Order: sequence, then structure tokens, then C-alpha cells
Amino acid sequence: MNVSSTAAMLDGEPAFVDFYRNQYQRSFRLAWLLTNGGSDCEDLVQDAFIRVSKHADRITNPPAYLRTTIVSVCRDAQRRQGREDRRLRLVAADATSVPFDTHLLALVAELPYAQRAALVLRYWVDMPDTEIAATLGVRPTTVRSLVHRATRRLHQELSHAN
Amino acid sequence: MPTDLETDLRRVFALTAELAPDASPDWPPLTLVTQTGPRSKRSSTITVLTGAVAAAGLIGVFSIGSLRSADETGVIPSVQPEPTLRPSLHPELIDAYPILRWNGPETIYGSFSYHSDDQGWGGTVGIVDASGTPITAIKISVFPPGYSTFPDATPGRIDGVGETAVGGNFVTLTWAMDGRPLTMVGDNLDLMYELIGHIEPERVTPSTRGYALRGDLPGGLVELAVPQHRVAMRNPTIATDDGQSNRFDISVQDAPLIESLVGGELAGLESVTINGFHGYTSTHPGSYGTHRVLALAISTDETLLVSSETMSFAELQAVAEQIELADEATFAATYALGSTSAVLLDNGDVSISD
Repeated sequence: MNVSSTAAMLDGEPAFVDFYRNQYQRSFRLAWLLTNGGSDCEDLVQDAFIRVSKHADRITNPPAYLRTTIVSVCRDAQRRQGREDRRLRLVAADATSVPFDTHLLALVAELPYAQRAALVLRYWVDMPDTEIAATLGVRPTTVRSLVHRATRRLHQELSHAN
Repeated sequence: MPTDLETDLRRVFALTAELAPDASPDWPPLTLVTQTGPRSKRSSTITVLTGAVAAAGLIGVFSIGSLRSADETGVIPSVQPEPTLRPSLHPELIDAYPILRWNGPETIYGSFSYHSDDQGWGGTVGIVDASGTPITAIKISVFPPGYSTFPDATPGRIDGVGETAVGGNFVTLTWAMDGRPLTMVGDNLDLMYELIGHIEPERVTPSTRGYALRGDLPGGLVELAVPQHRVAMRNPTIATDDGQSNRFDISVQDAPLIESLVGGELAGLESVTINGFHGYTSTHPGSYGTHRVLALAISTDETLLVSSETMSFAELQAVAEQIELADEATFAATYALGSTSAVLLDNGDVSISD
């Protein structure tokens, strides 16, 4: 298949094109937050859209399915990347010499992925726990546990820094 | 009232998202189809995308999926409470707290998962076959006004009703009546739509609201669990933590066993009895694989859940056999947690303090 025919066929899919355009920027930002500003965000988001397209004929809630897929592909990417490179590159190592927001972001970047994803989905996407649970594939009580453990750890780290 | 940390997290996430570089939403993503060499993955994926989209057709790509017939519903083994089960002593609190006698390599952490809002009322209806075995179940919830707006629901068959796929064959219907959000979770969409007209929120006390089932229920539905008030609650959880993810976790949920099973993938249910508690094994399709869950009824309104993404049911059962149920003070002391107290106020609210 050549490029021109690919473009022509995709241009004939107004529903998916509109969906892609409407969702791309916010999806990219979600991946950006989940991967601590990872360099492969664009690839991950594209992969997520491709996965959505493969099941497009039986998805009842495309935005929710896309969000779940992004959370999944970002988790896989984080596992591949390993823990040593999880720190957001914007963040300096010395917590005492950086602004509070930067320090907090560094602490969030250190959290296990599931805890970080729960915080991002609750406090940036603004999802209720039931939807976070569906997105993460866990029960609502597990979501609350993840958030509780994450915030407890952040409180402890922030208290220690002060 | 949000805490300072919640406010800080919202602000930091918003600022960080704004810092993300501009990502072009051009369609088709020409950067993909023109890449070669090390980025050849992109060329292959765009081909997949093209084929999938073409196959999906112009119409109905994002319409509601095919309706589910009754023969697709999961079969639940007998989930009615055991005759010896009794209601928990304190419906406004968790009465049973898990303690794991664990000799494994991981450290076990205890915590409270805390929902601070009134969760409204929840109950379950289902269809029971001739032997008394429920063959499908639907969970109904009535929330306090303004509890949730469920923004991502897809418009359903009836004006004002939204649909959200929640995994497996399960769908959540959301709507509102008299300003109160209602939800219904189940895997028989036709029956769920028929049931909507039979649900009527009712005022139980000046501050709490439940629901009533009006008229003969459709399709032979019967009530499996009566509505219970979900108040602010601290649910105990213990889990392993290897820094990346939990190998397993154990929690007590303020819901009857039948409610704990609704929303999961029911195809794999098998009856199990552990330490005298009856329940079921269940699988739940997640984003990262299959979650295996042991759900055990410890009273008519509390369920013990043991779950893992990586362990087999046999391994989970071995863990479950090492669980002892204790009071909150023992749980808090064992896992070095602060104690908490909850008081049911006259107006129906619950005051929880550390």
C-alpha cells in the first residue's frame, strides 16, 4: 500500500478523523504526564489510536477506550524503560533547591506506575473512582487504596523535606 | 473540601500538561507514513490502521455496539447468602479487618482506602433459574444529588440515559431522576433498559435516599440484595508492594458478595469455601491482563476480596487461608496505622476522624 492510497482511504473516514483530531492533544498530554515527559509519547499515543481503530466497530465509548489504552501502553513503556530512568527530566535532584511544584512533580514521578496513574486520572482527568477503576482494570476500592498510599507517601516525603 | 495536597496536585498536573510540546493532530499522520529505517514500526502500524478503519465502514464506527442477547449473560453459581450469614454489626463501619500471617518474601503493607462521600444506596436484582441459581445480575445505585456527572457516557437508547462500557460484557447505564444520579451495571442491556421504568428513588430520611422497585419486574427479575446505604467508609486493604506493582492485595468491601461480583467477568466463577467462608473465584479483565479474584462473603453486607494479576487461583487460595479477621484496633496496630473512629449522626451522615 502506498502513501497516497493510504491517505485517500483515511480521508474517507470522517468519524475517526474527527475523533483523532479532537482527542489527540489531550491524549498526548495524558501520556506526557503518565510517562514523566517521556520522549516516546507521540509513538505511544499513535499506538493507542491504532489499537482503538482495530476495535472501532464494537467500542461503545471511544474516549474511555482510548484513555484506557493510553494508560496501558504507557505502563508497558515504563516497564520497558526501567526504573532508573523514571525521573522527569525537568526535575532537579536536590529537593531543597527547587521550587515546591518541581519537587512535588519529582516525588510523583517516583511513585509506582499504578499509583501515579490513579493520581493523574483523578486530579488531572478529573475522573470519579468508578471510571478510574474501569480504566485501570481494578476495583474502585483498589483505586482508593492506590490514591491513599500515593498521597500518604507524598505527605511523608514532603514532611521529610521540610 | 480538597486538601492542600489535592489542590497542589491539580495545579502541578495542569501546569505540566501545559508544558507538553505541541503535538500535531494532522490526519493522516504523514510523519508516520514517511518514516523509514529505525522507525519502520510506524509504517507498519499505519497499514494496520488503514485496514481496520476501512473494514469498520463509514457508518457506525462509534455507534453503540451490537446489543447483547440473553444467552451471552454470564452464569453465576448460587450467590444467595448462606443461611448462616448475618448482617454486620455496624453498617456504617467495616467490622472485619484482614490480617495476613505471611511468610513470603514481600513486605506486607496495610492501609485504609477512604471514600469520604456519601455513596448513596446500592442493591442488586437478578434472574434466578428453577434451581434457585441466579443467571444474571444487575446492580442498581442511587447517588446523592451532584455525586457524579459521568461525563463520558455515550447517548443511549432513551433520552437522558448514557451508556459506558466497563469491561467484559458489562455496561453502565447512567441517568438522573429528581436531581439524583442513578446507575445500573449489568451485562443484559435489553433487560436493563426495561428495568429503568421500574426504579423510583425515594426519600428514606431527610438526608438519605434509597430507591423502590415499582410494579412487576421485567424478565422474571427478582431482588437479590436489598438497597443498602453506602456511607463514608474506610475500607482496610493489605498488599504487597515491590515498588512497581502489587503481587496481590486483600481488602474488605462494604458490599454484599453479589454486588462484588457484578462488574467483573463472570464466565470463570467457581464456588469456593475458605476458612468457613463461602464465595467464588472470578476473573476480571483489566487493562494489563486478567485479574483473578477470590470473593468471600463474611457477612450479608461485607465481602473479603483477594486479588492478583499474576498469581494463580491456587496461590491466591493459599494466601486467603492465612488471613485472619480482626477488629480495627488490631488491624491498625499490626500495620502501624492510625486508629480511626466513625459515628453515625442523627441526620444520617457519618463523621470519621483519626
